[in-house]
Amino acid sequence: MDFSILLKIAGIGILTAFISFILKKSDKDEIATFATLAGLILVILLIVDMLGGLFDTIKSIFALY
Amino acid sequence: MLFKLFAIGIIGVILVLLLRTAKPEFAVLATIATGIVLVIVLVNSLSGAVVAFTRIVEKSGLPEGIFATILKIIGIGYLTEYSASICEDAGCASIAQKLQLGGKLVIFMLAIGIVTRLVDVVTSLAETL
Repeated sequence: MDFSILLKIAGIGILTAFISFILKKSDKDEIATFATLAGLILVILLIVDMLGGLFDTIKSIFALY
Repeated sequence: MLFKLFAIGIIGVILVLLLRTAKPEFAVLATIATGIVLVIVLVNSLSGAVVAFTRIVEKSGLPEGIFATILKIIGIGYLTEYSASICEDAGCASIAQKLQLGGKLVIFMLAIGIVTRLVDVVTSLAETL
């Protein structure tokens, strides 16, 4: 699990950058913003899920209920 | 285990730099993700230490509440530092300071319990003299 998620996030980031670049070049700017937004939301969901897991582990270790 | 940590850290930094040129928003998310992965690798070894520590405290006969509060304070201190440093990375130092203030307040509230217990012990000692 551990650092494959990092590569996934980097991949999504580069892909969105690439897609929005192509869309901008074919002068479809509003779709480019939507594509970037979609990529961003996907990554945010991944990160929030990981953050929840991290806070749960720390809560269980330090008995921080 | 240590080398795994170094590897993840370096890979994370490289990804963050890569993303910073392409898409700055993703750079912040990549720093958060690297932070989480590093901490998860660390936390597993930390739990062993905490269990050993609780056993020592039980033998030493201290009242149970004190060590639990100390553990809580350590946990809160760590989490506050973690989130404050992420905010600083993202560039908003003012939010980081607010988080640190909040963490300090919570730790202060927890510490009040120990201080009152200390005062009770001292007063009871003073009475016996």
